[in-house]
Amino acid sequence: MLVKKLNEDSWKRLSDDQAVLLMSECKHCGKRNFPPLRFCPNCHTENPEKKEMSRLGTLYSFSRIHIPHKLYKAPYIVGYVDFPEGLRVFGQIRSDFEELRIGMKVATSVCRFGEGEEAVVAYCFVPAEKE
Amino acid sequence: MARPVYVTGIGMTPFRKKYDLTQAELAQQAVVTALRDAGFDSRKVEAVYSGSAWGGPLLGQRILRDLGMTGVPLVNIENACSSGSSALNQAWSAVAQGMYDAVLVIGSEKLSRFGSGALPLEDDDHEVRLGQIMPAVYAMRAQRYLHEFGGTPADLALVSVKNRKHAHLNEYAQFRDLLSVEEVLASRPVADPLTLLMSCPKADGAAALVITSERYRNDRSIEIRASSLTSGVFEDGIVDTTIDEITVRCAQETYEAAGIGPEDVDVAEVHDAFASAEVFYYEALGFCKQGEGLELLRSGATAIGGRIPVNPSGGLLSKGHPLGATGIAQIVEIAEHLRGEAGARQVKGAKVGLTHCTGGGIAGMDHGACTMHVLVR
Repeated sequence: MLVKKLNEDSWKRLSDDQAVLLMSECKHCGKRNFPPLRFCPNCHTENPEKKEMSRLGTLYSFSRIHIPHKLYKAPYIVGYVDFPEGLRVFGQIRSDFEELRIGMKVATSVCRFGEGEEAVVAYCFVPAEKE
Repeated sequence: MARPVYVTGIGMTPFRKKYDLTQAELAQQAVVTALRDAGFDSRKVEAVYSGSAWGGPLLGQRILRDLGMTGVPLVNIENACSSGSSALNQAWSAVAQGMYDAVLVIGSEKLSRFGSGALPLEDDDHEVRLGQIMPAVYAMRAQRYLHEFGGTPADLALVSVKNRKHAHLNEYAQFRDLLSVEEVLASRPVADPLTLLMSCPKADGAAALVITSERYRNDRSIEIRASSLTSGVFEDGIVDTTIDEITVRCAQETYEAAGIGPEDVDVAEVHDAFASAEVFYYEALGFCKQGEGLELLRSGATAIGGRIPVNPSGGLLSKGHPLGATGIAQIVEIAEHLRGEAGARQVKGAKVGLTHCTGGGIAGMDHGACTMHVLVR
């Protein structure tokens, strides 16, 4: 079974269901970005190294999408998560929609999308108390 | 010092779900209407700016070849939903700087090519690959806005109800039947809290303008007092998305250039791609303070007959949103009001009109582009 890794330059798998996001941090001016950028947008220093971010973040906002996407079956939930590194990250959320609240803690996880040869894995977010 | 610039001819096609015409044929209809409206000999047109998001290579040449109008500088412009209004900004700039006395601006789109569902976004965008779509961008902002300032989806539905009431008087709009809040809320969910009737429909359509200097001005010409175009600022940090930064910035530049403030605007056409967006833009354009958009809406101030009528055409929500045509059709609408030719939906005594058109979804930006125009009678 072929499983492709989506946005693979921006996250690292830690276990079956745990992942961590990777950011760039400019060695010249300290500017952080997600996904990691090769050139700092502030001073254009080249920063090939990536750093791990915190696994826990705070849900800034979310929505349940009801129209199918070419890669994803509807409905699916997306959200923006604020991390202590000062970065806001978009991703899918695996949760009961009714349980989601703005301001709740979420953790970075690994999700599989699709089946068989079509399957891809990517980082996603889950309510933190589920861990 | 920039010279005064005028909208001297206006033309548009009705916006419809699907035309059995090519995009070029559809645009030709708008061009001929605009030239006739201006009473203008097409041979006086010195340059052409054609805006479209999906029109493909050499669209302007394909439109004008069959009208015998090529052989002049012709530029094709893509800036997502702001493609048409960006073309106008370039045209305005050229006439203001004295390069030309008469130019043609065209905005056109055929979204019927895509079928149903959300518009495709660029796959090289990391958010898009994870399932981001335009309705979700707006929905997440709306969700956060309601969380911070209070209000319910029923409040957002009032935008759809109001704009449909305006469209009821506009035969160029795609959807003209009156709506109730209940119908808006009961329509198919798109991205919570936004429903289908809170989302702009796709459309085919075209609009065109003859833009001139004083030399070809006539008694129906409307002055473009200011034209602004800006791009989104990259921000992946923790910012307040209930403020539309790009619109706030563009509005400051526009009001300053026009020498007016939001209190001077008599009528506005704004980019209501989703019902919630119109509320954000009341605030970003300074029609009310931050957090007071829903109150302004509920007061009736933004309906025809109110203090500051917004989207008298019915907006994108009723007309549909043929991307490249949208920004030019906004100018057509405002010009009609300032000329006193808007018929049943005329905003009485309108002297100063504003158009606002944002463009595009791209990770890390409010929008890819923002354009604003101030028109003065």
